[in-house]
Amino acid sequence: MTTLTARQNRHGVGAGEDVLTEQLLRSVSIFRWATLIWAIIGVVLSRDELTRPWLAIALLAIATIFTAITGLLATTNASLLSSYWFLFLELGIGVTLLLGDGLVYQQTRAQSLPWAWPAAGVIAVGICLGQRAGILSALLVGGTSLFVESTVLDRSVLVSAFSKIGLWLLVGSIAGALTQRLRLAEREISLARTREEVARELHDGVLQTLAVIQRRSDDPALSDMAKDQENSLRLYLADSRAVAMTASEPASLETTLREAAAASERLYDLTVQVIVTPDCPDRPDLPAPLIQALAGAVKESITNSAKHGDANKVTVFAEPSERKHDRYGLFVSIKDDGSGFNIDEVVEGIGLGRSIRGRITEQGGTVELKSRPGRGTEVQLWV
Amino acid sequence: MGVSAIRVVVADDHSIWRSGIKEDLGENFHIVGEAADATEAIALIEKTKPDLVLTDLHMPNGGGVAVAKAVADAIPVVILSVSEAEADLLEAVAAGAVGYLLKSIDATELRNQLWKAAQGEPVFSASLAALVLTDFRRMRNQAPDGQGLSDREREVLQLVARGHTYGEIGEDLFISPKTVENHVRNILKKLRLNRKNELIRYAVDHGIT
Repeated sequence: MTTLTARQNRHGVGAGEDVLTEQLLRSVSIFRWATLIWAIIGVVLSRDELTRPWLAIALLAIATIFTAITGLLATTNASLLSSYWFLFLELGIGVTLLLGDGLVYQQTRAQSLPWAWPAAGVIAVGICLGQRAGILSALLVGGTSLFVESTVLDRSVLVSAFSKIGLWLLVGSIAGALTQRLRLAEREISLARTREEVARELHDGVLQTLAVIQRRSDDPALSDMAKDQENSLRLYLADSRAVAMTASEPASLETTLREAAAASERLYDLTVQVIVTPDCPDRPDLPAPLIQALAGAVKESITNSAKHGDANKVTVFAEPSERKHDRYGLFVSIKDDGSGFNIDEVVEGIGLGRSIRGRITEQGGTVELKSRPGRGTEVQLWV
Repeated sequence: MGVSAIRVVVADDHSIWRSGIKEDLGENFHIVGEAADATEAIALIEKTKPDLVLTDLHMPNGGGVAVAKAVADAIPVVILSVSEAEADLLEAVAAGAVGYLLKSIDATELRNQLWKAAQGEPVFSASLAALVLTDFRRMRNQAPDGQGLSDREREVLQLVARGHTYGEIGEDLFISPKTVENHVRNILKKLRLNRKNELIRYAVDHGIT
């Protein structure tokens, strides 16, 4: 078990989040460069309207230095970028640039001094500290920009300033919300992966032990218990293979068939093997009622095998159907090694008639029966 | 006992399992050596030259796949595993194992199957057949230039997956059980070839030559 815990820590939940944050901050640093270049082009184009050109150059130089440093850190030591210190520094520079806007320009200007550069800071805060912090920093940046523009008494500028605040808020909250969602998804994937790994480890140990008990024990009750445990463990494994599924969703075809098989094994003295090919259709393409109908038909078939066929072994097999006109493209067969019978001579009993044929035709499927004396019976279901 | 007993090497990292197998195999089989990991098994097989190798899938140093890769050209290798649907089963068969059996198999069945395997017959469980069937379907979609199955081979493979015995399949298709076996052998040969080609293609595509 020590190896398991160690592995969990290595690929565990915490590590995944850090990688995610660092990847996102790396893309933000690209965005930061783009906005900086745009801001510089904007200042160069509107250089005639500058009242304090040297102040504009100095402010842009500060932004350039910060952009360069964060760009460098993003590729070498991205975890440093998520520190409070860096986040506040960037917001501070952004606010300073916006305030400087009012000092370096005459009243009319084509775009504000830093353009969208402060957005990078808002996004970074959203990514690192969550949606609420993202919105707060958007309010700070947007408020500053509104304050600066309110010194200009032009109504159209004011309107555009308000709509800008809306944009800042959008950026801050989306960055925060998306990161939270991504983080959740990452955690779910990593948990599922851990579960699968644990399952694989258990495979060899526990299943092995259960197999030994079943074969070595003279006590039928004990070996039945081991068989039961083996079945539940295999059920769990079948479930954990379907990583995308959550507990609230209906069970998969494989899980349901295995449950039906295990229940029959408990009732009758025979072994049931369930084989579902990896490419077999399953949830969510198969509706839950159909899966239930199939499980019912499988159970009924096994009952027939046990009661009338005197079978020791039943194989339940499911794969994509090769017949084009089947609605769900699924084929299921239930084959036993029992005594078999002559189909022409035996009238269909209630088991086959109502329970199997009824369930399957209700779902729009077809049932076929193959048997000959001395060579077992096979029930085939197409849906 | 006697000269005709089949000489077997058993490889499994659990000693309780190995001792259990010894009891199960009975007097028609003679265990000439036991190994607890792949490296040990390969060395032992090369030294004792058994008629048959019975190996666990998951073992230290590469497991049953490593054993099959190393010796399957000369000696039939049967994989015995608790795993029902692992991709490494396909890998084991592609590595040259003549078959794979579940550990929950009962002793009589195990003896019968191993006896057949020692004669070079493919020991092909239903669940393995299902995996192979799926692999060929996948290949038909992804690499249509590979070795596909003939209609008859696909039919045989599907019947095995559905739990029919070679005898029953022969009866159904009006061919002898021996012919069914030959089909199975050809299917395995194609699987191995496709896997090999896939590896080569992968290597070429990724510049590993």
